[in-house]
Amino acid sequence: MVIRWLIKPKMYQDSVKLMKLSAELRKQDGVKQASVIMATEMNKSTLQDIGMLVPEVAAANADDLAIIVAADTEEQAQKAVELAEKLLNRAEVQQGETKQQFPKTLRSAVEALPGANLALISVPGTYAAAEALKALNLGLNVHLFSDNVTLEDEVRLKQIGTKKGLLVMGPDCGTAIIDGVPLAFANVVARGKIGIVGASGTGIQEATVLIERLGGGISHAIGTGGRDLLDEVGGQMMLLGIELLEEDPSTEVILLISKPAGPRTANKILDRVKQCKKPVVVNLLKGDLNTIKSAGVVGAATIEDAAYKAVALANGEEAVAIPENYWGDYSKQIAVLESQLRPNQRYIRGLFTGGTLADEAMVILSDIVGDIFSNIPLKPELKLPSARKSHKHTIVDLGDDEFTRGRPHPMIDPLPRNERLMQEYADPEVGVILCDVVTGYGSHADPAGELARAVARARDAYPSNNPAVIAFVCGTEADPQPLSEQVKALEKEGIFVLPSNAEAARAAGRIIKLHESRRV
Amino acid sequence: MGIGAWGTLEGQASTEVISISKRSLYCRAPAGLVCVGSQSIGRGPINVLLSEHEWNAIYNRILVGENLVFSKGPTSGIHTVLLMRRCIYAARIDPPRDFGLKPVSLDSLWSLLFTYGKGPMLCALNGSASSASDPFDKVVIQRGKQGIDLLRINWNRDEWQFIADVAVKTLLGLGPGLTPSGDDLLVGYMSGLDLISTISSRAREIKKMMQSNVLSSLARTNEISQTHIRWACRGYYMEPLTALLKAIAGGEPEAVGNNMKKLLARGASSGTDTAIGLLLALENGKEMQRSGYSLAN
Repeated sequence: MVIRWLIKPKMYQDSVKLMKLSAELRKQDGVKQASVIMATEMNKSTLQDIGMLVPEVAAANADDLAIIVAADTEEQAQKAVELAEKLLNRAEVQQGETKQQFPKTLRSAVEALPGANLALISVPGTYAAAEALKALNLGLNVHLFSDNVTLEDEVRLKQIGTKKGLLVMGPDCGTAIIDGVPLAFANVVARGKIGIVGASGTGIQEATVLIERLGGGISHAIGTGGRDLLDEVGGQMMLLGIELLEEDPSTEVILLISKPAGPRTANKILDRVKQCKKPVVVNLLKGDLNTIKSAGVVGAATIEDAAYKAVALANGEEAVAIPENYWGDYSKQIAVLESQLRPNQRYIRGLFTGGTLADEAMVILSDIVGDIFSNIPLKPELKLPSARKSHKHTIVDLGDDEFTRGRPHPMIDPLPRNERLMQEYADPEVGVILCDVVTGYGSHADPAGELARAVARARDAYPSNNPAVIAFVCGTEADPQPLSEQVKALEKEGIFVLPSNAEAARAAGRIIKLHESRRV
Repeated sequence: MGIGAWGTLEGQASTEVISISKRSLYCRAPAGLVCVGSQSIGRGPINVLLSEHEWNAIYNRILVGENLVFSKGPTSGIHTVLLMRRCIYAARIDPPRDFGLKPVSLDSLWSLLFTYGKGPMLCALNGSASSASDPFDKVVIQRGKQGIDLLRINWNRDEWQFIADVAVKTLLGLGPGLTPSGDDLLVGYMSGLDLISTISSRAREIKKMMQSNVLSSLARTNEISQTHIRWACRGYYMEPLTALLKAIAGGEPEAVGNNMKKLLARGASSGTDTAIGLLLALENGKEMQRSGYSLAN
């Protein structure tokens, strides 16, 4: 029998890996015994007991890793030692059946995966533009997750992208679905005929989720980044997105989700939409719907309405507005929740992790209850003096820069919302707390559980205040956090869960209106 | 962030990564080691916990030998961990003075151990060294059994100074991996002594003997395990063990059962090894009571 060994000074590996490694080596041809251990005195003494302690291993110390193999032949022993060294090399980590590689440059990544046509870039903003430029020069479409890229860099990158026919999704592009593959924050939704180009992250997520709930599916969802429709950028990626979806055989209907655009850009986009060979639905939150209608394009005031119309068109039906009570009649639940409020519980507080979901709720609620104060208000005069303190009816976007500077987005870290929820619960004038729960890739592993626990804690802390808590789960059954489990966790804590963000906002508004009428 | 990690990183920005596994990495600063990982590793004195998202971002980028920077302000580097809040985990057990072991059934804890436990020290406890096919494992189990037998010796024996010395030398550094099984078992034993020492002067004496022997023999194990042991000697343990000790001290049978299961689920066999040590110490405590020694002296 031949013994071969290898000492890896100051190499630390966890027990699970070492045990698996020892077991793997013992399976190799001719190997009689193999041990991969930290060279502690006790372990060396143990090796001695089984006749495998060689002087070199005896000289190693407790911080060194030792591989010792006994095999029938020298070649077999050496081969096993080499295998151990290879498996210890982290550059090629085995994770289940999948081998993951960690190339250090974009070029080596492209070489390792020939045919790749998209790079997802998530590095600090200072470096992001340079990486995006490298990707474009390598012929890759770019998903630029990073923010803090200058407007000048964005314009330059998008000019290059347009010239090459390559997408530059971003900067600060939170979501995309390309050919069924979710990128960054995205939900797992059904494939289908509707292609989306959108300037907002959670807007696209909500649209894809609602389209699935309405029986439709997504071909692609292209994010453009929030500044694409500014006149400086000129909507370059929205225009390229429309062009790509128009040419894409799997897309039959195009849905544009837009933030207020610069006047020149708005005209450019509407002109392009009018020439499009495929039906297009345009959602313009916070914008003037008449501009869209006057251009002869199908417009939608909310994401819910846009999703409904897109699905209708994909089914070959007429694009009409979503019917009242489409999701169900919630009058009874609303009446029960209202009956539990004290007379002075008259305000709505919306605590949103998604900016577009907050926008949509404000658009709906302002029609029902009037002015809504916010850190991202519909009108400048409704801006909260401090985003950290609510005033009358308030909706806050907790994902806004003011809250996320130097800390994770609330879709990842629920703590900021939990703290704010406690604050709102303490206010005896709060009648309804409205929340979104965004699941999918990238989000917290159990956002509904976190919210439910936060509500339970708040109830314990302020038992005499019992506002209605209403939520919408932006998610699907196939998400890493299955929808049914998320809804169950919320309902278990008495949270009223509605099937769309718009419906949740309507329910909140109806509770307060009903309460007002009773007080009168 | 654990109390030890905060102390190590305070005023220290750059560290060297010395080990990476799927759920955690260790890095070395001049003042000591810290363990960085996802929430799944749980809180502990030297742990810095990241969200899953942050952990995945680091895990997929960093290699052993590279630098990991810790910043308390806005960050601008790929290999940077932002210490966002001074949210320090510094839990220690604080049993009430009238604490007794009676409300907690040690039988049910042994039963959980044999149901959910795993690893060489459990085989050592069972006396099932022969079941191991690998000769190395077989010897580890045999030595583990020797160590366990020593720790079972009644605390009222005068030669405990010697027993503690031999037990530590038998177990410290025994087993493969970053925290060898023997080390975990000793940590568990010391935690049991910690729990009982508030009400028993003899347990306090034994604890001092064990600590002194362990600390003077630390060179027998690796740097990572040394760090964990040093904190254990000061009464700071990993979260599942602390939670279990608190539940025992509080006489809450349901919490005891739940936390025991959580502890047993830790690591390859780390949780089991620790639980064995703890139960051995608690059994000795009960034995002292049975043999007429009052624990409350």
